[in-house]
Amino acid sequence: MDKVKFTPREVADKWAFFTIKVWKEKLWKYKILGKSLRSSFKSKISADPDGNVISIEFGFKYTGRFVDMGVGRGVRISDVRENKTSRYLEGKMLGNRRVAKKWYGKTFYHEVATLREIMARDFAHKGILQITEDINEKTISL
Amino acid sequence: MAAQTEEAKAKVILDGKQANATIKEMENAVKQLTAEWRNCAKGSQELADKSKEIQKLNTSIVDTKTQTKAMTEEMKRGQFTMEGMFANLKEKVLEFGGALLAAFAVDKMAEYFKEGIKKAVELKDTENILLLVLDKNKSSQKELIGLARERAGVTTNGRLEIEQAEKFLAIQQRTPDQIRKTIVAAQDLAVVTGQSLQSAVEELDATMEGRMGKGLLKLSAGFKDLTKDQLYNGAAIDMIGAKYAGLAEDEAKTTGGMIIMAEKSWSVLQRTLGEYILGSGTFYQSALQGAKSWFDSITGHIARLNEENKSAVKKFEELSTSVGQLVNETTPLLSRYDELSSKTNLSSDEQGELKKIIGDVTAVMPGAADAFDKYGNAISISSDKVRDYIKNQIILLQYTNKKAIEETQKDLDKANKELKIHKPDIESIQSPRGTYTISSGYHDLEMRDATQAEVGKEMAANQERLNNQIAITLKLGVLRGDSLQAAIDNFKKEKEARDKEAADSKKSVVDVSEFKKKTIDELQHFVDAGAVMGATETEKRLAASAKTEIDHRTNDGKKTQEHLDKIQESYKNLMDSIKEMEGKNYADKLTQTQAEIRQVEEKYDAMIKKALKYKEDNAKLLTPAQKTEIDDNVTKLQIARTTQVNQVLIQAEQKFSDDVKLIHENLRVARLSITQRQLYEVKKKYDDARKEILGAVDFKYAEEIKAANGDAAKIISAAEHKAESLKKIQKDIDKLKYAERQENKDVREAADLKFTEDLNNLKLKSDRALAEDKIKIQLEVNAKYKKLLDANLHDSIKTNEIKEQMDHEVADRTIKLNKENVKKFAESAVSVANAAVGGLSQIFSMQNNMENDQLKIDEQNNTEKKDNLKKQLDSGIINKTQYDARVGKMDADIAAKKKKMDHDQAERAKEIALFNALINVAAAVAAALTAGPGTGIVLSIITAALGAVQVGYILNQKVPQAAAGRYSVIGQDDNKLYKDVPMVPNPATGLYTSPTLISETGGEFVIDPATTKNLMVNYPHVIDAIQHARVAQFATGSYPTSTSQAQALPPGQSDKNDELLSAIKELNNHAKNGLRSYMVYSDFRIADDKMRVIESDVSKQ
Repeated sequence: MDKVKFTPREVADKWAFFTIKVWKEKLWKYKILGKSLRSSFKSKISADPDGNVISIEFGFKYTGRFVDMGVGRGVRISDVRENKTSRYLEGKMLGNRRVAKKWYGKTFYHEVATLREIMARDFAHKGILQITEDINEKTISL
Repeated sequence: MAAQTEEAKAKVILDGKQANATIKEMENAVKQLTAEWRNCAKGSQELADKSKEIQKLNTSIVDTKTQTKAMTEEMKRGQFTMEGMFANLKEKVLEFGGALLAAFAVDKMAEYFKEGIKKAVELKDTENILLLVLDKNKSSQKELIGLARERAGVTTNGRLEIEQAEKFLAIQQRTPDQIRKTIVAAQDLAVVTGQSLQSAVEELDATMEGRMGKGLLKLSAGFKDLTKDQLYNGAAIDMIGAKYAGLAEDEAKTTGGMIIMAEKSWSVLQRTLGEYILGSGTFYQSALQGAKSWFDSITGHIARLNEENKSAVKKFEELSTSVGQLVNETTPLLSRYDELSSKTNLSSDEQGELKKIIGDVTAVMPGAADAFDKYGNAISISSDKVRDYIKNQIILLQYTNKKAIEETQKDLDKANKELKIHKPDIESIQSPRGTYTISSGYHDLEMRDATQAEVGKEMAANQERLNNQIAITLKLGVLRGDSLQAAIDNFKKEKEARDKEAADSKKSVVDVSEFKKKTIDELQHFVDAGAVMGATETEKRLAASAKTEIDHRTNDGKKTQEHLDKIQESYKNLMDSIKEMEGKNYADKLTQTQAEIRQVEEKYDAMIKKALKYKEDNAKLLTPAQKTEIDDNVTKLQIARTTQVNQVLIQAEQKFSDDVKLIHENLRVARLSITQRQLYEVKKKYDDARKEILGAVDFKYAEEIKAANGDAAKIISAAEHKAESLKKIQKDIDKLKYAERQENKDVREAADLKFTEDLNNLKLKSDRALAEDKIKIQLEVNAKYKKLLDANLHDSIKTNEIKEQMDHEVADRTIKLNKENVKKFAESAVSVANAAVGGLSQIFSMQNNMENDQLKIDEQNNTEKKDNLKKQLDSGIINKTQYDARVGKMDADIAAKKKKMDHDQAERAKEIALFNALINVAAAVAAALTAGPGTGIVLSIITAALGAVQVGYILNQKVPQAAAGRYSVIGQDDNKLYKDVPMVPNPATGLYTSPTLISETGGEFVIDPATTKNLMVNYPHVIDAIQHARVAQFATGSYPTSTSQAQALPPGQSDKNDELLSAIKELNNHAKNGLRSYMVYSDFRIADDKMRVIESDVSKQ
């Protein structure tokens, strides 16, 4: 019963922190070493006066999306797939070697799914707490 | 390309806001708004607002519905493990569940869980009722089910069926306990209805929620009306089957049944969650923990059913019949068969008989035939095979009999248990004032007085139980081969034996406790009695105890005697060696050696003098070459003189090193003995203390035993008292042990460290003082002659004379200093040993005082005790005999103590005298050393003594021998440890690169005596070259070479200068290098062995 330790806002805050952490890990993994993108992550949590979280907003350098898509510096989005195919068929290709480094999308949706589970569990614990209180206060009889 | 400052955003919007109301609430709100909207005036702002609001709500409802549907679908896909529950849910339920989950509002969740808890509690009640109903109608149901089994020919369900049923129930989220109960009930149902177990389980599970209880209640009510005939002719079975079938099948097929199924699924979900929340249901916990017990119970159930179907008793009965027939009928046939088959010619009758026998035997055992005719009929049999078969059957019968006995025994236990359970009820009925109460209902367990009918029923039931027990006992008797009487007899015998054993053991305790007081002859009597053929167990045990006591005494005495002998022997050796040393006059010996040296020196000096005189007298006549030749010869003579003197010195030193070592050994033995003695004293002190404490306990125990006068209870009580006392004093004993350990440690440390440290420090101090004083002397002499030298600076002859004078003075003073130093060192070394003995003496003295004081206290106590006893005697509390006995014992104790104390004190005094004598001898030897006439030899002896001390130090470190023929040695001069140095007893000529016991630091060239002689004769220049190349290591100053000396010597200078310088050289050389190589090896080994022997003897104390 004492598992509910955090308010929804705290949970959201921590989740946002970990999401950013995972993003940064992905940046390392894909060797995206630009400091500007790494240091640009921030999060903002909106909640109503009751403490219910309405939204969680993330912000980062827009160039990060280009890295994720593998575009920029002369590479168009239409070239990405072609480059990938030719790299697969011909091996190391000449010219621009820019490839899509999918650091953003998968991570984000995975973390959102995790948040969904966390919130669901959180609500369930709240319910348990409520019932426990009711039982203790004899507002429901068994 | 985006600007560097541009920012990407990712937003997660939570649904909480949208799910603030349920769909129903929103629909109601829409309805209400629509009603209001209709009442609004057309074109008004209110109408526009309401329209917007309605539109918003409708959008909201649509969104929520879409989302909840999506979430429900997601759940179904397996996000939660409860999708099995949802598989059977109707659309309405789906919507409801989805809406509820979508709402996520706390109050809704609370309601949902509340409902779940209520349902869980309700179900528990239902189950309880059901179980009570089942229990109450157990016997009739069992009977019916048994009949149904017989008719249906069904024994038990297969493992696969049960597993399937278990799986089904597990998917339904049943707890292990529920699954077990349901399967047991379903097995019965399946037998009655002829269904498969799976379908029975499904039906039962479906009807479990509220229906089963009622159904069974009806059913059990119907059983009461059935007669026995109806039961046996099967009508009842059909009836029950129909009822059971209808109960499940009909209902399951109807719409209501389907709804029940859906409701059940939903309620199971709720209940599961409710149990989870309650915590008492421990759904997950029980699912994990109960798994094993669940499977065990299922396995046990199946095993029980199998056992029922294959009754060992029944099997035994059948088998015993068949084996009986086999043995009685077949065995004579076999004998006859053997007889007939051994005949060469058979008559037609015999042939017919043989054929018949073969037929009969092969009918019983077809495998016995070993030959067949062309029609497949057996024409001969193997009688051995048949006999083996019979034998095996008998073994099998025995085994089955054993099993049957076990089984019947279990039944008997069960019957006894049942009787025991009902015993209080029966007793309360039978008791004149007792009241037999009975519970009045299933729920409320209020107790009420039983009616007359109920009492009668209980009595009848009890009678039946008794009859059952008797029947089983009789059956058991039959199975055991009328073993009842035998068991009774056996029991009687066992009881008698036990009684006898108890009596014997009691006697044995008394006897054994008195064994310590008995003589060896008396003990031997017990041993003999035990060894006689047919001796009783008690006699044997007593014999063993007596033998142990005899062994104990003999071994103890033997060991003690051996130990004492060894100690005596080692002390005798010590004293002998002291006496031997006393008999030697070291001063004489030294004088003798000195005389030898002088003799050699005089001989060579005369020759040298003669040569020099000849040269001087004929100076003008001699050519320079002749003069040089004379000088060379003189030098050779000087070398030869030195060599011979050295030889004499070496011999003397070798002899003396033995004696010094002996001194060292004796000192060491003394020191070891002191340590051992101290340790022994410590041990004795604490042993005595322990003995005293334990003796008091034993005395009290003995008194109590005596007072018990054979009363077993009192003896036991005495033993208990003794045990208690021992427990109480345990702390004191522990304290004593701890104190003893500490004291032992202190003594050892003092012995191992202090003594050796003292000696080592002493040596270092002595060396340092010697070196400092030598420099001081040199400086003083230099200062004294400085003015004189300055005055005669230009007169070389006078300068030489002055220098000669200076050297003389330095040499004299150095010798004097060495003497003093040696004396001081010797005195100090002796004083260290003396201090150790003094310490021991002090300890002994303290010990003696303590013992004397203790004796006085004991005597005073005894006097007081005697007074008290006298008073008791006078007042008639004790009689004269008791008084005399106690007083006599006290006197005897005191006398024994006193005797022991006197003996101990005398022994200590003797030892101290011995040690003092040893120290005195050591002091005398040291004095003799310092009083010796020769300077070199004195110093060499002292060096040897120092070496001995150092060897003693090394020995004291107890350096283990690393390998055969290897030793760890500490260098005498450099104080370095050379580990595992190999010893070369007969060194060969050659270069020794690593440290060897002969080549101290390695890198030394050794030439054996024969080669040296050869070199001296055939290659004298090699010797010269070696002598020339030798690196002299002197303490101070330098030593002039023979050539330079010859050149430096002024004409007419006395030859004595050379002697003096030679002596100084020897002195310094010995002072610097010592004579270690001549005393370390073999002596070291011998000393080591000897010490080891002494130590091993002494350490066994």
